[in-house]
Amino acid sequence: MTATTTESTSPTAQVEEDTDSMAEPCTAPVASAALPALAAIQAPAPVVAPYLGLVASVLCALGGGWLLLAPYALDIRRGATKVPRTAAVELETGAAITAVALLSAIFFAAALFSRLRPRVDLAECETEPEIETDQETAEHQAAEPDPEPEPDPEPELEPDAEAESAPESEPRTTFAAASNSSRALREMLTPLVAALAADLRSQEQAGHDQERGDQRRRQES
Amino acid sequence: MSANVPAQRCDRIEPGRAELPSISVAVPRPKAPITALTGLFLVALLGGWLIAAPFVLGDQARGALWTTATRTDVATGAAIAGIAILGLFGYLAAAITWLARYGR
Repeated sequence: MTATTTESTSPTAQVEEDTDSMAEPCTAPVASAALPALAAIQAPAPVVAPYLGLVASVLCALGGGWLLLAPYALDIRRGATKVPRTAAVELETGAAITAVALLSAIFFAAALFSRLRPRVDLAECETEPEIETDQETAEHQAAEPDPEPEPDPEPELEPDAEAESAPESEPRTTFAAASNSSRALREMLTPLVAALAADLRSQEQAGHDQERGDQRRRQES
Repeated sequence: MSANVPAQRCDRIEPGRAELPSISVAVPRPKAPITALTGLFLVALLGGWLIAAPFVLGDQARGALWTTATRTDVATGAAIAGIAILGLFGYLAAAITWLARYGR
C-alpha cells in the first residue's frame, strides 16, 4: 500500500515516462547515445520484503515471550514442587522460539538498513559497467583522455577550508551523488538537444529549397 | 482545405517507438537475507511442534476436555506458526513484485 505509492512515484518511473515522451521525435542513434546516461539511474531498493519479515519476527518473539510467561501466569504448576512436563515443554519451546525469532529480527533489520542506506556508486555504474583489469583501465585512460574536463564544483573553497571539512564525508558523498546525477542528466540531454537543432536546421533548409523551387516555377510559368 | 495543409518538407521518416532500443535501467539486486528467512521458517516449525506437542507427548488424553496447558499450547502455536508463514509469504510476494517491476 505505502510501498506501492512510493514505488509508483519513484524517479525511475518518471524518467521512463519522460524518456518515452522525448524519444519519439528523435532518431535511433540519438536515443542509443542517451542510453549510458540512463543506465546510471537506479531503481528503488526493495524494502517492503525485509520490513514484512521484521514485523513477523518481532510478533513471533512476542509469542515466544508469552510462552515463557504462560506457565506462571495461568498457574499450570498448581503448586507442585516439580515442574510438570507440559510446562517444561512450553518453557523450552518458548525459549527456542524467542531466541530464533529475535535472531531473525536482527538479520531482517540488518538487511533493511543495508537497503535503506543511500547508494553512492553511481559513477561506477556510469563509467565502468564491466569489470576491467588495471592494465585495461590504464589503456583506456591513455587512449581516451577526457575531452571536457569537469569544472571545479567548489571553486570558492580554500585549501584550508577543505582541510577543515575533511572529516565530514557525508555532505561530500551527497554532493558527489548530486553532481553525478546532474552530469548523467546533462549527458542524456546534450545529444537530444543537438539532434533537435539539426532537425530544425534541416527543416528550415528544406523549406527554403521548396520556396525557391516554387518561385522558379512561377517565373517559368 | 488541401491548400491549408502544409506540404511535406522533409523526406526523412522518424522512427517509431517500437524501433527505438529498449532502455535498461541499472538495478543492483540486493542479496536475500537467507539466515533470517531460515530462522522464520524454523519458528514456523516450532509453532507446529507446539500445536502437536500435547498430543504427541500424551499429556492430553484422547477424547477428554482440553486442559489449560493444551489450549495455551495449541492457540499460541497456531498464532506463531500462522504469523511466521504469513511473514514468509509476504516476503516472497514483495520480492516477486519488486522483481516483476524492476528486475530485468
